[in-house]
Amino acid sequence: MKISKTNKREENIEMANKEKDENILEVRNLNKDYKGFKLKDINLTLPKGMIMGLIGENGAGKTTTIKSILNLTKVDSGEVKIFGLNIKEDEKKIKEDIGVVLDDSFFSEHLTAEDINQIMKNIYENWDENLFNKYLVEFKLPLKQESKEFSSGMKMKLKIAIALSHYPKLLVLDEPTSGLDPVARSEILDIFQDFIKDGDSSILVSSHITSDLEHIADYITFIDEGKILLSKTRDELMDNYGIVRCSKEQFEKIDKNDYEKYKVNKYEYDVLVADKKQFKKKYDFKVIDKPTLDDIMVIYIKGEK
Amino acid sequence: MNIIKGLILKDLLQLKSYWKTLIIYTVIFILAGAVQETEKGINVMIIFMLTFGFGMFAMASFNYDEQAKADSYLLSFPLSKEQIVLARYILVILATIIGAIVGVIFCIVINLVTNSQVVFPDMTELAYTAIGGIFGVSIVEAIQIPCAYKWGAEKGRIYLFIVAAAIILMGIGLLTIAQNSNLNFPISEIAYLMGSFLPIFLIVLTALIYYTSYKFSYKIYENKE
Repeated sequence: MKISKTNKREENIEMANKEKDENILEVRNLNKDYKGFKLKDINLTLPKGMIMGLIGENGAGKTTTIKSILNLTKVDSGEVKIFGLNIKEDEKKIKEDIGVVLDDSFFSEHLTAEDINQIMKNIYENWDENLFNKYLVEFKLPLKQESKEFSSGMKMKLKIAIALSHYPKLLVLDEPTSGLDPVARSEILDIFQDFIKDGDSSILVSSHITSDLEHIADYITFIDEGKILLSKTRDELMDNYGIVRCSKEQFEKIDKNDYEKYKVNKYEYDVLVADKKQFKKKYDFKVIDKPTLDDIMVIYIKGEK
Repeated sequence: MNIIKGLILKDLLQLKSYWKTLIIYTVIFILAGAVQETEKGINVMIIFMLTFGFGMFAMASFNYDEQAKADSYLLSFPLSKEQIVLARYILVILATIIGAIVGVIFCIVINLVTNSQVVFPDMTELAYTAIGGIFGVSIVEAIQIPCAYKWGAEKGRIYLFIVAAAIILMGIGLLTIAQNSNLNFPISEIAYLMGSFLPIFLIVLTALIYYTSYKFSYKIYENKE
């Protein structure tokens, strides 16, 4: 009996360690109150080899969440673990293995890619000059031109080249596709998908261009007014959620507990349901539309319960 | 140490568009010195202005980081806030010292070139002037850097004047109080007694000023969001 108990405990520890090893990022109960804005009980788990998309309108708290995760801003409470280590205790060690792209912060535009290479050689232990140059060639970025001459797409590619050139295990990207044309966006999304191919690397990416995340994200986390409204796998969202478009009379027959939120349009009601199969069984609606992330976001934010 | 080197390199590389301005600034003061007759005052002017100019050149790196809002990005690298502040101080101090050295070198050259007889200038005097120049500039920088960390490079300059004015007013106030109370400070006697120790005293005081300023700046930067 004793032996079996010991074995069970060892099994549990092994499982816990395995789980810890499987998760690249764990955020627990993150809270921050800053200049009238609150981040409330943020909880996230990002497993290895996965991409998590943070969605939400401008000012919802995506950037603050990312900056809190990276310890760039002080939090009031909560814990962030990256690679199983606490960001506050092992910040330098963790940051050696993270590649970061920030929307609102970068090097001076007076620096060239060549300058940046000289700087970064001294910053990251694993900085690979050849890999950086390879990315510059691949992204068609000039070596000796100041980045102020670059287009938005070129600037973003430069940021991404920097983020990738020290073999990071985690990429943290804040709005990496904003302001880019569809071709540049598609190229950048391909780079991200290549990055996680090895199965050991992960990406946390925020974007208000939800269609980008529909293509690449495995998990979707929706933030609004500093709170996580939902965090699910993309498939769970895309397969289970649905939009019922109905008249006022039809809407009034729906039980409040059977939908998430509804939005009144000019001629109809858009009702967001979390389990369309169950809903179909209970109500007589033949067509339930598959929502886009945009639809879900808009109804959650603008809709009523 | 590599990280500090990388940060200093970043500042130097982003200041490259300023190099031309610095060279023109240096040439103007050297030419102004070369055409003057009285050599002593000119030596002081050249050394002081170049020390000040080089120091301010390094201070301009604040502007570039501020424009690019580079702080968050830099802090996403494996480095600490302390290293960022330290690198900035090392750059400013080195630039100030180099400015003084360049000033001394040009004073020697001007003396040798413009004097009808080849007379080597008094090196001790030039060294004392350089130390005095660095000391004077260190006071400005020691106030300006924490102001830049607290309020940003642009606003920091305005606050520099406010803080400097407050210090001068306090000094005048203390002197007035001392005079009204008939207290006699034996300043000249103290200076005489210090004699050749004065440069060493100034060097120690300059180091202390920079160190105190660095501690202030770090504290401000550490608490900054």
